[in-house]
Amino acid sequence: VIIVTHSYGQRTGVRYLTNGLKVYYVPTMVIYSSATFPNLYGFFPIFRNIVIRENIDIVHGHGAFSSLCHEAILHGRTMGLKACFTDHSLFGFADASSILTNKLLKFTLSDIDHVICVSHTSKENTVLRAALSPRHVSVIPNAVVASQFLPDPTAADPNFITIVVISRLVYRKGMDLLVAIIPRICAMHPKVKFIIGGDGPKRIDLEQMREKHLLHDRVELIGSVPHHDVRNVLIQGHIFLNTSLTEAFCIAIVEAACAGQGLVPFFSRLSVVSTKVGGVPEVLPRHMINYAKPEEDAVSKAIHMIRYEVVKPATFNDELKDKYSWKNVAERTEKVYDLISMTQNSPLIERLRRYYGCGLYAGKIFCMVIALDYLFWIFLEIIFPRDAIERAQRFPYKKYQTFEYSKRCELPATTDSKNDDIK
Amino acid sequence: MSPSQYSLSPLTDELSYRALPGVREYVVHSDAQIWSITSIAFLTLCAIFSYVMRDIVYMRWVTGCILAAWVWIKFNTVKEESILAVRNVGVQVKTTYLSGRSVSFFIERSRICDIIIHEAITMWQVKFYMAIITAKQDKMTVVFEHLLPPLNPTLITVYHGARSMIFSDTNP
Repeated sequence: VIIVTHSYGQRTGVRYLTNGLKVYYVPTMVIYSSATFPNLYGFFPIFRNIVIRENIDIVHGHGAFSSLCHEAILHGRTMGLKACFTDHSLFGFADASSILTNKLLKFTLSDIDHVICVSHTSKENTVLRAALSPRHVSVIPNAVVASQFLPDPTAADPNFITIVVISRLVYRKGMDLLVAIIPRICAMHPKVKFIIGGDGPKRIDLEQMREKHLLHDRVELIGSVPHHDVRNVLIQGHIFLNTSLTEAFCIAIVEAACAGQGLVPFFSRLSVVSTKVGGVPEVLPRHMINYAKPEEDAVSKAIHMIRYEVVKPATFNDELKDKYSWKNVAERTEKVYDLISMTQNSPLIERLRRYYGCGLYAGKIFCMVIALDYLFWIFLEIIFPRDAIERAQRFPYKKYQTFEYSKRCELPATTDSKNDDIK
Repeated sequence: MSPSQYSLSPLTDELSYRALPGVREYVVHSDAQIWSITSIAFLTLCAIFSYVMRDIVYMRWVTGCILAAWVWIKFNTVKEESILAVRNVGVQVKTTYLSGRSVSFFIERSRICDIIIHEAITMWQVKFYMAIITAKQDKMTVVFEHLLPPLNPTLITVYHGARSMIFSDTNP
């Protein structure tokens, strides 16, 4: 398994992540907010080189807005590999960006072996947007490492009721809603405090709201929280608030529910309040979550429940640990891979026929794109022949695991995994 | 200067090495020549072109520029690259061009942190390279920087040979 992505700042080239996972940071141009400039054929040579040297069979792309993903699937299909796509978000149908993205998605998903969605709502959404047959779509929800989110009932301040919000501060996550709620809640309940973690363009609005209503001691903006610190922020709160306007599968609320259980029954728990949008109702069981309309009033209900200590039953963390595990996700994804490995490759004319059906004008444009892509592939096969590309060495996982384990037992060293020798 | 019995012995068609007690030298050749077929063809074409256009004055400048570019390319073509590792002394990396000019760079043993093989993404390829990490320097010194030979057997042989000289006390 390798990962191919665009470069992040200074981080380019071939790197190895902690477990030995190989990542290719391809130096493509990034235009805005980690989105690459969509150059359709420019990515093909380096992609082909990487795929041949690593003996890749299946291309798995993530994210409907990622141009690298669409390009990789397109080039992978041209080269005869199997392709698979995972969609992580929900989109609307009405506004300009959605219409364009949906058409692009229809293009990519016309010729794909399988699609994975992260919730049933997301499956409905994707099937409608891309006009797919539902038999080719699987639902594999995301998971959470429950052991990283162990609860701690003593961490929260008993004098106040603390509400935690951790999200990217962007419009999609309902920050305008939050800006409207916070002054009203603070006015209605004098013993409530907010902790807001995360960063983004809407931070300015939150700061302005804080200044305007003089809530400096009641609202705390802690800025961007690195992933390993999220749990420490979560356990400081009694209530986790999620105000997203749209959400396919909200990992944040699962993490919050994991972090919310204490062993002593009379301490307050971290209960979750969320807007009932998208895939949120599928994620947590009914007893762990309170729903609110995407309007302002319903947070009060949760505060009420906390203040009068409506005790929830124990072991949220254990329940979620069994329900969501990455091992389960990996098994199900492997089944998908086995399924698509057994399909046959269709000839070029069949692919052209599928793309032709995308629309009156769009179908013809897509066919031209595919034809040019095929010609470009033949050109690359002549210029950079397959035999001249040296195959990469496989990373010695077992050796690395035993080495890591023995090192960890001896001293608290950090491994410099950039300079792993290839033997 | 090496005595005649310790001459350069070929390992593969690219790589040859020389071994003395405590010293290893690995040389990678490229098959570039000054008068190759393409160069001769190109020069004859240039001559025909300048003869045909001999009346137009500025064409001489054009021909002159083309010839100058050819000479410059030939001067900067790498003929061979070598790495010389001497135990407890250091490592010397040398590049020899077609014109006979050679550029060498010496790193003493105390400044060598590590010798590694890693992969890098160039314009449209991913290639293996061998590099020496030196202390107090931002950039690594890449060995065989222009020729970039393949991993096996060339780079692996050079890697083991150089490491045995620098990082161990006994010969393998």
